[in-house]
Amino acid sequence: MDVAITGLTKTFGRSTALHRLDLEFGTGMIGLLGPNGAGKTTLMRLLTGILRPSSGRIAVGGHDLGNRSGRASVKRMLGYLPQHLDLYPDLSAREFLDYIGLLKGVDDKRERRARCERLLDEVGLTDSAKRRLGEFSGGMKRRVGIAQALMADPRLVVVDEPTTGLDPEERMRFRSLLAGLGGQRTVVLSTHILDDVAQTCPRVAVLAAGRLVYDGSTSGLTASAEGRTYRVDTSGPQPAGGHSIANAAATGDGMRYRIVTEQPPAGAVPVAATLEDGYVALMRDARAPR
Amino acid sequence: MNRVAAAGAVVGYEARMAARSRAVWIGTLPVALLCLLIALAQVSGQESARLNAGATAEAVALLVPVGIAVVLADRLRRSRTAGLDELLDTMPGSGTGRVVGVLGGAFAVALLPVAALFAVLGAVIAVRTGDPAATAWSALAFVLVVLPACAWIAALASLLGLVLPVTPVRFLVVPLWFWAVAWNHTLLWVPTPVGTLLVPSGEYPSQAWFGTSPSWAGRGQLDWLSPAPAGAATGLLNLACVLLGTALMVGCARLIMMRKR
Repeated sequence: MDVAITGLTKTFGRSTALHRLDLEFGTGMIGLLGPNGAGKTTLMRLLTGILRPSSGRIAVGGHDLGNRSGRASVKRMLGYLPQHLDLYPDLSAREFLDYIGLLKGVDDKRERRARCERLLDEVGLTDSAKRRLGEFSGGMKRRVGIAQALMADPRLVVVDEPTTGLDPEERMRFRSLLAGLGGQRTVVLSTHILDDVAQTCPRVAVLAAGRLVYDGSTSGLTASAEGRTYRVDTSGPQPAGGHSIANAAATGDGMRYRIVTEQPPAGAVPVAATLEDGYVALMRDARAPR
Repeated sequence: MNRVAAAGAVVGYEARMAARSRAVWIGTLPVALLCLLIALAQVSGQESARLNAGATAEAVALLVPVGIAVVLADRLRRSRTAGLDELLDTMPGSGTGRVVGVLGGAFAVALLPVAALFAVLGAVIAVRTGDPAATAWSALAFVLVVLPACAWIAALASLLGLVLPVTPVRFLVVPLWFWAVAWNHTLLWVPTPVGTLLVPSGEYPSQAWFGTSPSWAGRGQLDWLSPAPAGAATGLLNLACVLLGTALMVGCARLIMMRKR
């Protein structure tokens, strides 16, 4: 499923959430990164047809989301997990999935039931399938959320912050599930958790202030911090100067900082960059005066 | 995509959720029981089964819609909770079908105690008048008098529930209902539908098909909108006005829910 975004702008009143965005991607997983307010959720909502572009064009599988018939076509092949999802408290997990299946047009009862059971199993909720959603924990609701996104066997899956609120074990389960999806589908994963992207997405797009500041391989983003990532151990104040701190951890006798900089302080030890460092380096470059 | 299946799914699951909601039963059962007591006191063995059915339906239509409105005020608002509205917006079905399905499913459940009430009333009238057709008259009175009244106020409450917080709406619908059906222009200085073809109280249909004597129908403020009850013609006109008003309110609710972002 090819997605082509051309000159996409979205404004809310005087505020511009996305500014002339151009992005193309196909089958596989793409991670969408960016700070709060960068326009990630707006882009997700535009991709799912919830919002209309102010200008520009989004084509999904050749269908233009700017017109009604295009949106209708895309909705039939779309699975979506919003950032926040309050589920109906009076339905059980199985009933909710069945309801979504019906709304998505999975009319055959036997097929719908089989999909419900398979997805409940994949998200580890088979034992809780009959329980009311109102009794579920946040993590369990999130798992129901991803299961519903897959109910209609979608070709385009859009998931917004899917692992927020999940415990480490649930997050790992989620990652495996998402990684498995990317083989035959186009999966757009928006998240703040860089580790999720590092583990699942071969490609990443980064937004900052409504503009696309990086579009390329995940390893390429990591590589952008190579040669400028350092470790600084200190028992005094944090390293001063024009450094970007990627991480800070307490050690037995002080602090260990991970910094991205072109001019390392005395005593800084070069280390191999991670995706987190690459992201920090990119944001540093994006903020730098030109 | 099978639109009928999608609409059926919405109605079915909304009905299921409403049936599991304690608030729905707490809101409708006491009112239905109270109405039963009031209506039973009105049943007379001296009058025909048809007249009895109409008169009791009018009495029930004064109070039962209040319970329905209080219960259904949150129905459309519920599907606009965080993320759920976005998720439902990405479904292929039509927005109108969804709004109608959400209201229809919950409405059907909320009306169950009222339907049971009319079954009991029909049986009581049949015994008191000795006319076995009383059950049919009672069922007809439910459909022609009570159902439109309940639909009208349910649509109004749901619409208000979308634009105002639900709790105040639950209080607000009570005076609104009595403004619409009981507080005539001699009691209020504001315009009121009482006595006009717009009134959802069921007075016109009750006169038309059950032979009851209307107390206010035909005595509204605007003469051209308040024709004297004259059988089926004015009964049908009133039903059309009430249903049109209901459809307009549902349409407004749909516009609010599906407005372009």
